[in-house]
Amino acid sequence: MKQLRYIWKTSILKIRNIKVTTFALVILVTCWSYNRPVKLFVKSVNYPVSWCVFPYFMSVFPFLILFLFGIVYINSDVPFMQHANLYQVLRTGRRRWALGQVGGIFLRSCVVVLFTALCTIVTLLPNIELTNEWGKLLRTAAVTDAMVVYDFKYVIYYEIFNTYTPLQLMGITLLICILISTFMGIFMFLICLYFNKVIAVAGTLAMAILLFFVVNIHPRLKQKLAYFVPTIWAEVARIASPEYGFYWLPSISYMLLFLTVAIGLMSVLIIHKVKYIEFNWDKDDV
Amino acid sequence: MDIIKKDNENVIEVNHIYKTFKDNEVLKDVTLHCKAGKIYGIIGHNGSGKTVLFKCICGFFDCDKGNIKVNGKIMGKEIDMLTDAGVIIEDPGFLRNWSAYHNLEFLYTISNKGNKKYLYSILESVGLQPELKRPVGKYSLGMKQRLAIAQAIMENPNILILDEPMNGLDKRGVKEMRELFLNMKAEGKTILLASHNREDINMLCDEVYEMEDGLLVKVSGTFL
Repeated sequence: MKQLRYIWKTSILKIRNIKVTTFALVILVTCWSYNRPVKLFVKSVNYPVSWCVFPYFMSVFPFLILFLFGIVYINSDVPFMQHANLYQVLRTGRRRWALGQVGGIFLRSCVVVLFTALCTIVTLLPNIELTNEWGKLLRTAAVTDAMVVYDFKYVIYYEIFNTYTPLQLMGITLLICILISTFMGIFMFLICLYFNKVIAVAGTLAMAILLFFVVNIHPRLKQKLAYFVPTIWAEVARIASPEYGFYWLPSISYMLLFLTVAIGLMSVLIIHKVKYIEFNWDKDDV
Repeated sequence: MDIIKKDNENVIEVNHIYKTFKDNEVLKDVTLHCKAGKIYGIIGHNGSGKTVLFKCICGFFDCDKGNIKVNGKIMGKEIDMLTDAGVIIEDPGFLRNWSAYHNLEFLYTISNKGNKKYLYSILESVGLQPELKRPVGKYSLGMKQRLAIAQAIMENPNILILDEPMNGLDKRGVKEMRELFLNMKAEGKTILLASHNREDINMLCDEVYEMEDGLLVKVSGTFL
């Protein structure tokens, strides 16, 4: 109970800060800008659009890279040894403190991803269809030249309509994006503890930039590379769409298993390391 | 009989510890035994190793050699942090955008249930206005120091580790804090106090040690 309470308190601390606020504002403005062409289309055909566009947002390279850089930015206060933590560690002990940080990273990831998804919906209001159907508008956009005519900023993948309902795809995308964000945050924490903050930030940025190679490489290699680059899995809306005959994204069960096991392993390594580290406090208070 | 035995037990035992950072040997064969109901003063120049000693006692740093026992438990083996202690080390580290009350509440509720009335009384006891909404980042050094003292005493710990607790306090504040520490001593708390102020050391401490170049030596008599 005490542990859960500390995780909750740490999460509030991690969410209520200027970095998360900046990230939220940037995401809100970007979502508004990305949804403008869709809203124009909605207006011209006078037909509402499905609420489930978040998975398509995450499947477009510039938005995804912005989101991932944002995740690195909001986690850049690793190893969470700002001076204000001194009084916390004294009250929690090392293990509970480390678990609090890991839990805080997870809850912050949940909030950040849910907020992003909410922004994609809010910026479409009031012209949305609140049903569990893909609706005529997205179907039309996917199979006609509407995306080109209205200059859509994201691509609607037709094949996914027959694989998942909006609710299912939204759930899967949210889950995978939360796990990716948690993975990145915990990876940064781990690298920072074992090496230093510069390597942690550079390594995680490199992980985000790897997207560029995966996206641009030959589909056959893409399929192999995609197994080891978790950041690309946010493009789960493309899972049913073959590229030059190749389904290059790994299965959803593989993604979930990989991310869960990796997060679990890294958390164990963090707790092990925190048992022995020397606490040197950072004056850069939150 | 039990009480007599307990009185004679060491609450903190620092046994021949060494601590080196790269080539700089900061603590050399430091030994210190502290009992309940006493105030131990540590004096020494800046950089003499007082804060490192305190950090080792708190569990932030491991010792290269020797050991530290708190209530008979070895730091780093049987316990990993000095959790039953009120600590002030270095600059008071608080959440700068939060008020004094919210800072205290955050720390207090890590292990206790929230108690607004009690926390208000603690803030009042160190001379701070509990209802002040001003963020701690805008506090003067003296106010931050008072808040640091409040966080150190609020859980009624048995041990107090205080590194320059009077920093930035005005005369009245110093007088009030001295009274507070003497009351805590009377309640049987063990207090370790590092200070550059001779008057604090003379008035408060039962035993005084001087730290010089990593060596801790007991000092007899008072300071002029």
